[in-house]
Amino acid sequence: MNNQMNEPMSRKEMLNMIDEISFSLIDTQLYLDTHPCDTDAIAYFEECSRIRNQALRDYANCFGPLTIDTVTSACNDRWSWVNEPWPWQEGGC
Amino acid sequence: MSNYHSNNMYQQQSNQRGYMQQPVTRPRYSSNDPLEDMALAMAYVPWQTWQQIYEPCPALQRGTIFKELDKPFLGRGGRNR
Repeated sequence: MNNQMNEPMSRKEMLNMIDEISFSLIDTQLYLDTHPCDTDAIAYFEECSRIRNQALRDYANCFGPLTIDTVTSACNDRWSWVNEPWPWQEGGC
Repeated sequence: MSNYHSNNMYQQQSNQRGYMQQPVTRPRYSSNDPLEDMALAMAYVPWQTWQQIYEPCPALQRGTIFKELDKPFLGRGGRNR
């Protein structure tokens, strides 16, 4: 689960990484629904959750927020939510 | 055969609860089916354990984080070789 790179990731690469870690997180969540006491799974869930949250913040810093939850990571002194490509536009999610 | 065992356990529990009161009285056509005395249409799901977890990249490509659940549809019967 090492996504550390020397070169900065492109928008597409960051989106892909968020997709991957989100999938692992959700599949682990489904497992935990039926195995709530599995400490290995809980540890993996927390690891995925931490990486995903950081990836969402990093994405917001570089390319603007994907969801309203990371708006503050993307903002400096200006509201930039509406400036990013919409999902149906090129470059949008 | 652990699968047979769990299936049998389930049947016993079900009987205690009052389901499936009728004994299985099917005529026996086959003598080599180890499940021939079991009730029809009863399924089982073995308890999954946390093991053989795919890394996020192959997990998304395969559609599951669990290697043991990675069973692509091959359009035919038989095991995944």
